Amino acid sequence: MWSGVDACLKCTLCITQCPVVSVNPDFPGPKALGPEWYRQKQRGGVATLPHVDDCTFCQLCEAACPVEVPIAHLIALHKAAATPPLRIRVRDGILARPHRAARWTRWAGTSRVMRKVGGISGKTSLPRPRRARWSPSSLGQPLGPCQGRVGLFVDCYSAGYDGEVVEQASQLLTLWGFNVTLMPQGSHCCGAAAYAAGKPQLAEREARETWSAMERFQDVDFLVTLNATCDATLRDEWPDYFGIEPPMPVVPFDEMALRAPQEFWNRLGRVSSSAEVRIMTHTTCRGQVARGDGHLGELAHRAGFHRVEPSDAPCCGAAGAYAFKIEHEDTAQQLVARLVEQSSHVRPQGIFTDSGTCALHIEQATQVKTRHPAYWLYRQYLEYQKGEAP
Amino acid sequence: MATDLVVVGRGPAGLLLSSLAVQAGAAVSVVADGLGTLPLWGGQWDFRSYDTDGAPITDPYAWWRAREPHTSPPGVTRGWLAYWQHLAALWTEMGIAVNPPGPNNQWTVTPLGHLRPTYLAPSWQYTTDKPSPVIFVGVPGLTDFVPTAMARVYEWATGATAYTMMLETPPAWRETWNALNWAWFLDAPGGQEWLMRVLRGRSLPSEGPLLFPQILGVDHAQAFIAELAKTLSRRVAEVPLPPVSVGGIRVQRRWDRWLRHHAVPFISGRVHRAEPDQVVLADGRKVTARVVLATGGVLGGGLLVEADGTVRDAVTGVAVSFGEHDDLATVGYLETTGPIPVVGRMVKGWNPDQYGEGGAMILSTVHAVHQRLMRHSLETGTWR
Amino acid sequence: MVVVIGGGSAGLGVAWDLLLRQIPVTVVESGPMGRGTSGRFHGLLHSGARYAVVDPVSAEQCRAENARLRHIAPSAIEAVEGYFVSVDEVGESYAQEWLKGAAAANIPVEEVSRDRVLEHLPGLTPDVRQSFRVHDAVLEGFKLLEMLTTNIRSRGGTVLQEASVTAVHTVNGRVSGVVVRADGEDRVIPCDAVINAGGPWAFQVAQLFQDHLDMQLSSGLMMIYANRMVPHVVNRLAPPGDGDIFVPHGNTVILGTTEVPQNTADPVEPTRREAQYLQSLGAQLFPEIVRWRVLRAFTGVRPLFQGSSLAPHSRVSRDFTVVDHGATVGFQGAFSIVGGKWTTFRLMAERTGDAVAAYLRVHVPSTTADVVLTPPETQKRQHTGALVCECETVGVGDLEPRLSEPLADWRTRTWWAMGPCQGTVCAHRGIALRIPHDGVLAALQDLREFRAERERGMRPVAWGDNARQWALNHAVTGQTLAEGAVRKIGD
Ligand SMILES: Cc1cc2nc3c(=O)[nH]c(=O)nc-3n(C[C@H](O)[C@H](O)[C@H](O)COP(=O)(O)OP(=O)(O)OC[C@H]3O[C@@H](n4cnc5c(N)ncnc54)[C@H](O)[C@@H]3O)c2cc1C
Ligand SMILES: Cc1cc2nc3c(=O)[nH]c(=O)nc-3n(C[C@H](O)[C@H](O)[C@H](O)COP(=O)(O)OP(=O)(O)OC[C@H]3O[C@@H](n4cnc5c(N)ncnc54)[C@H](O)[C@@H]3O)c2cc1C
Ligand code: SF4
Ligand code: SF4
Repeated sequence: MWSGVDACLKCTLCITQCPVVSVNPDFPGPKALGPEWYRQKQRGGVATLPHVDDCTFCQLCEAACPVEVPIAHLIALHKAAATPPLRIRVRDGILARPHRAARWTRWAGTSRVMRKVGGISGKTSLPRPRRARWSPSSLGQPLGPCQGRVGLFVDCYSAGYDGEVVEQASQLLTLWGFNVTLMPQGSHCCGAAAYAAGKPQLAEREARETWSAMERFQDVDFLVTLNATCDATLRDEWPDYFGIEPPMPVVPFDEMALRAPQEFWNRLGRVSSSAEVRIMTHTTCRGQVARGDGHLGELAHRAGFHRVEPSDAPCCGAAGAYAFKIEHEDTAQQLVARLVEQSSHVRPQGIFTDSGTCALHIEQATQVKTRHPAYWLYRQYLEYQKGEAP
Repeated sequence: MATDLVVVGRGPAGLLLSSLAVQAGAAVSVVADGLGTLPLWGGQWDFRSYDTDGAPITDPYAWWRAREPHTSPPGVTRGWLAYWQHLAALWTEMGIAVNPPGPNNQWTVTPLGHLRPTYLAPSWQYTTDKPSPVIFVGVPGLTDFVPTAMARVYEWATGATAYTMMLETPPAWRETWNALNWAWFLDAPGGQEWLMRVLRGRSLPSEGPLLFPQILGVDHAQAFIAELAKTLSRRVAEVPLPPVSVGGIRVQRRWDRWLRHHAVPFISGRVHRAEPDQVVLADGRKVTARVVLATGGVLGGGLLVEADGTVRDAVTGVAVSFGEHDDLATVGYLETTGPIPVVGRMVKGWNPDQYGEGGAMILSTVHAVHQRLMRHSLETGTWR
Repeated sequence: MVVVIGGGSAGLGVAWDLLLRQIPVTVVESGPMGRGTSGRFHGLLHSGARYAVVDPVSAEQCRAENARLRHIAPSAIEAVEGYFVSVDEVGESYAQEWLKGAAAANIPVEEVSRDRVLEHLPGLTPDVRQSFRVHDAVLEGFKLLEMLTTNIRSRGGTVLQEASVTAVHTVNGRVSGVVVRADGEDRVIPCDAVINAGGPWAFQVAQLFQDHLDMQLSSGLMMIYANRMVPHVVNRLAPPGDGDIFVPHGNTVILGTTEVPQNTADPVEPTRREAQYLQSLGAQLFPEIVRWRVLRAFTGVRPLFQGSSLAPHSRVSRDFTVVDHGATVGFQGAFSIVGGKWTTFRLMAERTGDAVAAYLRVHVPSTTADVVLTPPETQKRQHTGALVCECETVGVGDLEPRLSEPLADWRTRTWWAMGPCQGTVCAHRGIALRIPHDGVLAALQDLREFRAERERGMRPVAWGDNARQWALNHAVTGQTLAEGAVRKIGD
């Protein structure tokens, strides 16, 4: 078993950071669902607690914990021990394999009745595919000598619904001097969705398949991720919980961006029109836990947006497939309400966020264009090009 | 990321040092592997509450002045008032109302109903110069705050009357609720309306402030308490509880927000190695800048106690105590000024648990290090 | 009337035995329940296998008593099974002799394959060579003490707590009464016989009979780990020694023990050095133990009996002894029961009961082997009401019916404040319940004593995460609750 399962000090710091506790009076909280449940289980079987499924697996509790109790991961085991009704199990089986689900891209057309039957929320819109619409060379020549080869990790969500951002990121990386390979090929999943749904074993199987699919890319120096959840899963769950090292170092796109050639930033700096544009940034919960908060703000600033407000919401409530599930729709809506309130004061013209599902959820709730930083950088670069055009 | 200063730890010491540096124009990054201790208590900062024999101290300035030559760092007693005023102003800017620091300690009430001195507390917390009749208002299911027991102790300790009131539970209530569940409930309009309605329907004892457990909201507590006071024409205040401690949570949320809105990144991860101008995280990430450890001593994780009693800096491996010679309550570095400066509970000799000097410990160590960093930055022309 | 001095397993056991023989009894216990070794033991209901080589008589007695206790007190026994594992050559070569001994004492032993044992005992060292399953079980000592107490009371016996016997009166060389001191006052309880079941204090009690019991006291250290990391009893297969048994208990697991000679009957404070030594021994069976969260350490005192200096005594086995002080020093009607184990307490009681009944000319045989003890109502845990103790899920509803019990009994009977946080978050909650009942001063005094008692067990093992627990405990009690400075204002 993992270390730290027995370390709990009863300090309650985890509870103070749990977004679900803040909106859902029925949720027993991380301490009760994680270490306390596990201690009873080690004694020999206790019933699972109600509402364990309401945990979003954001892991903010773990980030707060002074003694590194794997709280959220214990809760995932707790979820695994619970037996929800059959139709929910069927649905979860589908949503835990998002790379398969994403191949069926007509979700969004599902009728309300069908959604109810299938346990799918009627309040959260389902994704519609966004395809790339431009020719690959539109950003021009690389800004400097070749920096090496990177793999761009095409996560299931981007593969299914957001070809656009994959294309944008890949072009930016090319502009910065990288040779870009999309990987893995075929449909794969890092395992995040299955883990969050309380299926750690399925998650590990999916991760191993993905690992095998990537292993053959020998000459790739880095793996660049577009989704903070996948990123965190590759860098934390893979080595710590599945015992698999990613075949190459993993770097999130926004960290790659911060290392882009100075010339790139100089050029964006010439886009004067955006200085007064209000922007909000929302680092997804998994991103906050795995790396921290503040990178997106810095990125936005460098991209020429000088009126940047960080989001005050710890978690937007999307949490992968969480917001799509009917039993979570209220919690998901209440969580995003914090962002809605803030954006109604700030009135941003755009929101940066580092996950496709979060972007979808936030955009729907705030009615503000919410996109991955690759989109915003790409857009700014096009603005720059427009300005330079004769 | 261009950074002038990297503060390891986001407890009260790390937050204060980061704020001072931000105010001085530095680009600061905070690195921490956990939340720090601020949300573990009500958020009141103690100056010096007790004498060595446990007797409460009224005038902490006089107490420190009497020890001037021995205090560390030297001369700190001359700075005290300015430090406290700075903290009060900073908190006010963050939206934490606090009474201006006065000459004396105030009394505050503990969850067992007796009195303890404190120095600077957010205004939601009950403090007073002189014990007088009070009303303890309890809610069902909150075993940290038992009005009948508190009243007995309060009357025994002060000779003043303590009235008690028990409220009913709202429909949303669950038996599993702790103080924070209550606070989130009372942070929203539905909960606030419920409490207003319940209190309007009660007749109150003729004298005394209404003292609630610390549950009257999270982000909107101040406004709600003011509204309650206005409606009931009575002082309304709270008694801070052991964890879950909502007062500290309020302070921590506002402080984090203030720093984030001042573009301070919070990098999450455990620092594995530190040198004076670089930290290396467990996953290999590096942050390069002047380093200060605000890693919180034994509780914060900055000092690791080994089985044989040796106490080491968990980051640098430096042993600060061998075997069982030192009192675990006070171990730490002798000085703030090693090659890598340390602040807060990392510094030896303070004993907040026994003497009630937690706030003084933070102020003294943080300002000492801040002043050194400022001198250094002036000399070298760093810090924007 | 018979007065029993000492309310440990031996004292309560013999009182129960005599009551079933229709002999009225009063037990006088100087502390709260479990003050002595019976509340400071390892929690193992021996299968007998441990003594198969070194003490065949004990081995046989344990085997038989193990089965009897499962029958008469099932709710105090958790039938977890135990393993003997050898992890080195010493163990492997000892195994042959050990198997022979076990067979001779009729102790069932079943060999288990390496794969199976590693599956049943996650974290066991891969160095394991051989392993055998035996009928070891967990004996919940406090539960059984409470059960004995309530059964004695419901049959008309008396059990006094916080009361000490300070003198024994005789008439014509025969015991006629005892002086009992409680709350600073003395009173005399007339009786026909008195039984010294003083455990490690037995030599002091024997002085009241003008006899000298020669006892060799030794201290044993045990360490409690926060979670039940080991689901079965695990013994190292080797000649009995230090640090070779793991016993799961409730939500925890207990590692023990050591043997250090000492002079006083009171348990000594555990030391860091000894705890470190014990853990290093435990690591030979469970290497990961260094990463387990230790919770506290405690010691118990073994009352080993060497002899009564003045005259012959009836040594029942190498293990326990019934001394008739009428025979040794002519102090008629005074008996001592010394040594033994929790596992064999019923047998010890039966033998003592035989001697006392014979002295009183009561010819009723012992029936303790067959009479099933009734679990007290209060042991049916309710978890009603709001939570007080979060580690062990003890609610207001579990504590309120026990408001008149001493605070120490709350711990040992409900497990309140016994979990990993050691009362950090729940002690003041419990005290708040008691204040209206006990008054301010008494309740606060209880709280101070409680903290001091927890501190003794936490501090020697304040390392790693437990040091942080210790620090949190001090911050909450010293700062938030300001317990160190509770006083009247102006005092
Ligand atoms: C229960 C309780 C009650 C209190 N009550 C009062 C009171 O009434 N009045 C008062 O004035 N004060 C009070 N205090 C405050 C106390 O006196 C101290 O001042 C305070 O806890 C010390 O804070 P700190 O910032 O030094 O450390 P901490 O708050 O412990 O912060 C340590 C930080 O360092 C981080 N860290 C440690 N090691 C590493 C690493 N290797 N890598 C990255 N990050 C690391 C941790 O994650 C954490 O963020 C109370 C504290 C507690 C716990
Ligand atoms: C470290 C250790 C581990 C052990 N592990 C196990 C095990 O795993 N399994 C097992 O079966 N056995 C075990 N034992 C043995 C077993 O616990 C003891 O043999 C048994 O509990 C002794 O019970 P007792 O009643 O004789 O003594 P105690 O329980 O010590 O009872 C004596 C009582 O007499 C009271 N008393 C003393 N003087 C007076 C007086 N003047 N007036 C009134 N009362 C007085 C004391 O307060 C005390 O409560 C262990 C022993 C030790 C030391
Ligand atoms: S993972 Fe997130 S939602 Fe789940 S318990 Fe932890 S903080 Fe709460
Ligand atoms: S933060 Fe960690 S140590 Fe604290 S209560 Fe939660 S799980 Fe336990």
